[in-house]
Amino acid sequence: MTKMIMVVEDDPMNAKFFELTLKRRGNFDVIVTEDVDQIFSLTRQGKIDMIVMDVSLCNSYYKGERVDGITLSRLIKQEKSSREIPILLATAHVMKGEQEAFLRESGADGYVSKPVIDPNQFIRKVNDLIA
Amino acid sequence: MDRDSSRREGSCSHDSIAGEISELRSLYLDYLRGEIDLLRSVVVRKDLEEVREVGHRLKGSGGSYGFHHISELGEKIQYLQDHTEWDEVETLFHQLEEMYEQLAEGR
Repeated sequence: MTKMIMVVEDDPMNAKFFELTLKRRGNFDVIVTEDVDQIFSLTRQGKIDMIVMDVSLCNSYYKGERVDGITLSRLIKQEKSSREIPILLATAHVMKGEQEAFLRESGADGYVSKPVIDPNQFIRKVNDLIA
Repeated sequence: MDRDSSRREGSCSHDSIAGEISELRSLYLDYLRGEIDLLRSVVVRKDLEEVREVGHRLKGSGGSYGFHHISELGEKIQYLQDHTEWDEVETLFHQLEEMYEQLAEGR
């Protein structure tokens, strides 16, 4: 059965890039959303095999507060129904130590730097986590 | 970036998804035009936080479509310091506009 990957991303061009790369090079099914209610609904139903999570989200709200990808990842990992879903953080932050700190804070399983220069390497990372 | 290299940017390369799906190059340039318009307005307002956010998005997106110079310039904008002179911000903005014009010319 084809695996379903959720891409949580607010930037339309990054979202399109991830969607096309995952579909065309990885043969995955993909859903793109930044809607927190939809994110939790799908993860709680067990419909998601993996998440690619943008760190900086501008339009995502949880209980009335804006949330970023770090907080969202942590919330997903805290829930029994979704804690096993692998999360790959996607970030354009490149300052020394930032990415490691994001991993620690979020509980995510890995990260990828944006821009993604090598789509094949990105797909390999996804495959490693989803296996 | 010289004129020739700007024209080569975004053209088919082995590692760029834009190489497989050529229509995305044009789509990216439309997106870039929108970001430049937004950046112009936030530079006028001298809103450094917004300026950095635009830089962050450009850094994160350009290279994925083969526009590596856009990502490099985006990173400079993303990490502008609080004490940066506005002349420097405007210079970076004009560099971005120039890059866009060169890329759009090669469409």
